[in-house]
Amino acid sequence: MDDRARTIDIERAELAEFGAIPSVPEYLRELWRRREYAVAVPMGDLRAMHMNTVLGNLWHLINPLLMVGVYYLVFGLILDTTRGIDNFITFLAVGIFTFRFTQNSIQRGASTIVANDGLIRSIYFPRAILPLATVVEQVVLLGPVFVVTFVILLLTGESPSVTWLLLPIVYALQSLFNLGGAFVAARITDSFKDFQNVVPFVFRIIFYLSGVLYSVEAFIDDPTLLRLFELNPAFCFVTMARWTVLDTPLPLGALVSAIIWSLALLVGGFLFFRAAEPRYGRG
Amino acid sequence: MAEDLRPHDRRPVVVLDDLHVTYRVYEQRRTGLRDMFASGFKPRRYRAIEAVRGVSMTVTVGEGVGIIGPNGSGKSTLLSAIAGLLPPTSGRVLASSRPMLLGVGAALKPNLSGRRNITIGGLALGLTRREIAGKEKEIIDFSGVGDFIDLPMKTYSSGMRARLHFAIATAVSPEVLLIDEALGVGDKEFRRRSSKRIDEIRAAAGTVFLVSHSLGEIERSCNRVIWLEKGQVVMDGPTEEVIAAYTADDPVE
Repeated sequence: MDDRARTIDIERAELAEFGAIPSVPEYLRELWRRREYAVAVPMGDLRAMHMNTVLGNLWHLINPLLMVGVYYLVFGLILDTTRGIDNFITFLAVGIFTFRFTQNSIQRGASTIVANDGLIRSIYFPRAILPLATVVEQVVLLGPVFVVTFVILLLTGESPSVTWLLLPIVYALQSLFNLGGAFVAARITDSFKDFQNVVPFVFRIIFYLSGVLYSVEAFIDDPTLLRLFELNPAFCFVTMARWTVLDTPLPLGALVSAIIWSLALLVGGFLFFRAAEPRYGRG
Repeated sequence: MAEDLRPHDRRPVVVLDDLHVTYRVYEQRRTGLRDMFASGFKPRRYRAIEAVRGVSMTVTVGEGVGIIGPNGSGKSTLLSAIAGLLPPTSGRVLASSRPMLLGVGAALKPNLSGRRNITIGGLALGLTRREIAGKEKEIIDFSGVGDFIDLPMKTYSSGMRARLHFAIATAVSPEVLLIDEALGVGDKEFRRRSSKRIDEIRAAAGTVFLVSHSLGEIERSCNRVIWLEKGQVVMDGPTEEVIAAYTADDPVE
């Protein structure tokens, strides 16, 4: 081959290397350029999810209702863990919805790289789109959850308050946390497929440590021990969400902890995810 | 190696510079607990497969490059590397803009209608919603799926699916399009239309790489052919010459 001619050619035409991973600002620009894709994928999936059922998209509304119903039956009526809680069913509903928002985002986010290897091997796009799309899907599913929450609130005789409007803001902050968590889980699962099997159990443990089914304050008097709960981001989000709609206390520590967790996990998780980008889709 | 016949005033769009691609294939996973103890929990062993070994070429604007060779000669790996989806182990891939592999199928959702999938596929390939809306009719017409466009894609025949994939991917009008065995599924009419489309892309200053076992298809769409064998270029030259040599080398083909 004529090496001299080749060198001249390369200099004249402005050629670039596309195999390498772009810089962080360029990566983020590309991610922004593809934002519509990150919305179209979950919308398509949600549309297809209940397509073959009689009730169709109504299931997105019925599912959260049934879930709260079951928990209320078991923990409210049969086991009666309601001590110290006025509006237990709302307390329970908000706790479950909030916790599951994080659990579903991270648990589903974990499989995004592994489950999409065919896509990764055929089309180039910033892979962060995949965990992002999962979190977008969970955010969209919050729509029916809001409806159910506010219906339960009104049915249980709570009078509307301005703080109700803060609930979406809590969930907005929480989605940053979830996205960071989904990034981390997706990369770890890509390296160790076994991780996927562990995630549900980790969330089971956190579930019981987050006061979803009971009031932590009612069980624990020691303020130092309560402080430890504030290190648990799930506890913080559950506590904040409840505070917006019920008259439950909001420790300042929980608020600060949630903000720090969210920002740190989002930034750290993104960088952690992107660093392994060239490896994704290679088995 | 065939003489380089391309005029040097033509703008290069893809340059491969001593490209090597090695990937790891893990050996069968140990299944039993006993095996795991026996092997002392050592990490899984893998074999390094040198799929592409030192390929260099300069492809200029408007070329149609066919890549032929026996199974396992590294054709698909070469395309993935050109597309930037498989980072080179050594060497470089340079291109004037990001080459696009015709692989939109992986982005589509079988439960959704063809129409919705045009949007999803277009977005996956980097188009905006507005651009897709402008091309939707053209895509549907080219795909020839007709009324099926509003039915779930899982109801499509494999030929219909292939046509829709091809229609979506070529609507993006990429500067460099990489096609891997995607055209064989269609019927005669689709093959005629797809090779016409490839000609159009090339005429509009696009470059097409075509991996195929169908030499007829290569002859229809390519002016240049690369013959790969065990990851190395055996021959690189005008279509007729390379195909003649290739066929002479292995009469079965």
